[in-house]
Amino acid sequence: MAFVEIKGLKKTFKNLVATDIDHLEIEEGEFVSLLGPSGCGKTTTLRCIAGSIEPDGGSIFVRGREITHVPIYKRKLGLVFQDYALFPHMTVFDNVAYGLRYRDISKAEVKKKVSEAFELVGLVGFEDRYPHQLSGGQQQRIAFARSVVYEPDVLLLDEPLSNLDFKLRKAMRFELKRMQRQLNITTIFVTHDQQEALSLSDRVVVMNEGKIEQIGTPNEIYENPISVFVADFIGSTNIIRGVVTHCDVAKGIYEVRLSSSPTISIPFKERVKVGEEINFIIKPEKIDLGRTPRGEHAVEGKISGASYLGSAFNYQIRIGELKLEALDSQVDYRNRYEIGDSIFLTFDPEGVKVLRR
Amino acid sequence: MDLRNYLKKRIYLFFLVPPLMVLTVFLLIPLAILLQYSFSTHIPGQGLKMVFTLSNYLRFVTDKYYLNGLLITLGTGLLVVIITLLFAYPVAYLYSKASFRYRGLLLIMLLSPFYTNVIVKIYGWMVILGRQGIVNKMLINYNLLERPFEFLYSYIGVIIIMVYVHVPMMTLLLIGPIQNIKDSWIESARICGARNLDVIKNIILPLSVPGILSGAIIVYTAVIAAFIIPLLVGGDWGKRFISVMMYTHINVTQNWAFASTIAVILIITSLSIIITFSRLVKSMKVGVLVSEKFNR
Amino acid sequence: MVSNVIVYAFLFIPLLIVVGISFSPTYQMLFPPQGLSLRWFKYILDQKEFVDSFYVSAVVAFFASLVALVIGVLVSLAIVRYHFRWKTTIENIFMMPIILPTVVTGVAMLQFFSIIGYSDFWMRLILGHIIVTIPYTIRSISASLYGFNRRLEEASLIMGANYVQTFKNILLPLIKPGMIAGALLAFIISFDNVTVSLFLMGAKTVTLPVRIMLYLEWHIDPSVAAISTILITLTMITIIIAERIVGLSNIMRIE
Repeated sequence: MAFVEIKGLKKTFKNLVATDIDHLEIEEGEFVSLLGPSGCGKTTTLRCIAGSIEPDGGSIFVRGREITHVPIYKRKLGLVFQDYALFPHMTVFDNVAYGLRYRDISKAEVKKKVSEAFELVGLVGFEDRYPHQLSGGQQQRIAFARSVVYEPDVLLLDEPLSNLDFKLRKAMRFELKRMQRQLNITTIFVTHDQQEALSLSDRVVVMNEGKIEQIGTPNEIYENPISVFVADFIGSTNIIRGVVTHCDVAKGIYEVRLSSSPTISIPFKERVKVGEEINFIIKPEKIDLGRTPRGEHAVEGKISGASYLGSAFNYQIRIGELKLEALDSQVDYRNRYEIGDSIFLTFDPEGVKVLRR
Repeated sequence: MDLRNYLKKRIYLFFLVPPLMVLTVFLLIPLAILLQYSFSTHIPGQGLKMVFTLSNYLRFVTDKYYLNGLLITLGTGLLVVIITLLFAYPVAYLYSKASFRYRGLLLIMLLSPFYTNVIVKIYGWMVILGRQGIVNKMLINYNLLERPFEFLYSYIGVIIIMVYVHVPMMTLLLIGPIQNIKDSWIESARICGARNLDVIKNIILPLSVPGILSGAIIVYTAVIAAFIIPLLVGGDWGKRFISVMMYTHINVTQNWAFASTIAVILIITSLSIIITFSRLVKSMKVGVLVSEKFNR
Repeated sequence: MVSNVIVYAFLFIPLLIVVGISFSPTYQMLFPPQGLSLRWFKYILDQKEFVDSFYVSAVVAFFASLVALVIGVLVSLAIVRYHFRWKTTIENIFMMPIILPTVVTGVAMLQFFSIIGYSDFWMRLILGHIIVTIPYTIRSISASLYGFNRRLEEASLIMGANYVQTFKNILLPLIKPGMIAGALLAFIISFDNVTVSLFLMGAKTVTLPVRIMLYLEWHIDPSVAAISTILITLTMITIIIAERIVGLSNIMRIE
């Protein structure tokens, strides 16, 4: 059995199915993210694991032991909240030491472990301060420290970085990963920010409307989404729907008639049948742009929007009624494309994926 | 196992039981008895006879003395509330616009008279308004009066003292709603060109109305239920107040039945007013619930 | 604003006059006093009735506010945390003592005690005051409780503390301001109460406000001013303490 195993977890709130997970396994030491938009069930799942919510059905196992109906305080888990929830009436030291009070540990041991925790998060010297005297980032680190000091089996994090400003968030991401690696603690991380999930996790669980859409490594999720939802949610992706009208199998080119635009030729590697209605995706960075056609199957379009990102150009291109987004990192500012320009698009066949759902 | 969980989750509800028991035994049951008494008959010299009758109510409704008393009580309530509003609104306004530093001081200045004993306050006014009191002495000194005027036991005295007693409460009740009038709204009005008077007329006053109404309701119910003030300094007018009429029937004629009836009528009147005006306030779009404002 | 000064003056002048008179050297209640003397303070301290009544009021207020505090905590926890069908009704029931005219409460309780023949006047007074002060403690404590972040409890539980420990270590300390303010409020309200005391007291358990009231029926002299001055001072001190410790604005639901 895996370190953490969830089977058939179900929770319904007043006719709304909050969580419906058939099976989820997490290995020891893994950093797994539950990713999805608001209401997808990720927080509900986390709280079921934590014990704050009683599931309607299913079971949760940690280290082979079923904890589904074990009271919260006996589960030996750590939880970091979005708003940190530090105890305002205690010093930061006492906050961190709190979890150790209820285990049989001598005072000297407590002091030792707490000091280690402070070292881990890099806040030595702050022990006697009160939470309100600390900055947001510091409070966050204390919240982390107090959740790991009693060596829980699993560390749960509920959107812990959402309250931090942008720069701090990025810095904390590195910190978080470092600390998790150092402790080698099994971690479940809930977030709606796909950048966060992709950068931190060993595996990502994409959730939607209570169910798991896809589980995979960050790379798998990004490159090979298996559904429209996942493709749409992760990064910017062009999703194109259409009916296959023509196949040129030797060259691996299919012609697709699109629902609302002229037929275009798209090279892709998977087999499809003529007449089949399909969705396919292509990432903006896999579209090559040029003022002249490159390769046989370039498609002509018009630039309908341009955003300068500093490190790249983000273009919106129209082909008939189809709108595509392209990312051009070969930035030559003086030769940039402008709105109204005619442009030729070439699709990288490796980058075109067919979605079956 | 499931029963244990069920109970565990609802344990706080069990916390309600002892308090509810206390309240039921010492308030609800007495009130029920009161209600029952109101339908009983009083036999002079003997006491209560537990016969169900509406005679008490009929007596109240048909006797002009009592009806007028009710009218006087309700009318005075209105008068007092209006005057109190005029005093309280500016103070509440200043408080909500004051910076945090001064708020503590202002609050202390407001609460100290508020929580001072009502007897002390009445005594203070007795000194001021009494026959030998300061006001009379001054008026006689300046030859505006020949003989001391009986301020105290007149209607004027009652009004003055009732207003005095209720201004702090009204102020406290108004502070919340006034604070809800955002400065940014006033600023936008000014930017659009409104002058001070316009701002007051078109922005501040309309937005204050729900708050004023809810505060007024509470103070009104307190005033019509007033007992001590009319009793001590009301004189003949005081006797016509409902609470005092009730007291008289207990003290003098020992007619608990009729006294209970008066009590019930008072309760019904208060409740109807509260409910009606609460609904009214609720229906105003920027409304404040009366039940939230039972502050002292 | 000028109107403010007028109103605050209006509120304070009678009190100032009373304080001034309390130092009057003669029977006359002149303001400003013709001299300064403590004779009236000595006088009231010698009057057994006043001293006894002070004692009665203090004891009743103490016990009443204590019980009201406990009830306040119990009720607040139930009301703030749960939503159940009869919730609003129950809330209103507990708020009744404020909504009801005090006379009615007094009369009803008096009738009740008469019927069941309960003649322990101390208990009658205390019970009456408990009923009257309950809404205030509930108000105060639930105000504190509403502002309480429930995640703190979750955090405590996850870290290994059980429900009782969480209650003791996390919940109680954080609603202390509400509890203190509620208790102080209840004490003041109880001490000041006239109406209910009037109906429920006995010959030996006359509360101070009622005693003053009775005294005033026959005598008008500065002794009442002296008692009043003491009461005014005590009230102000209590208010100032409460404001400093607890920040009354929170409890008064003003901010």
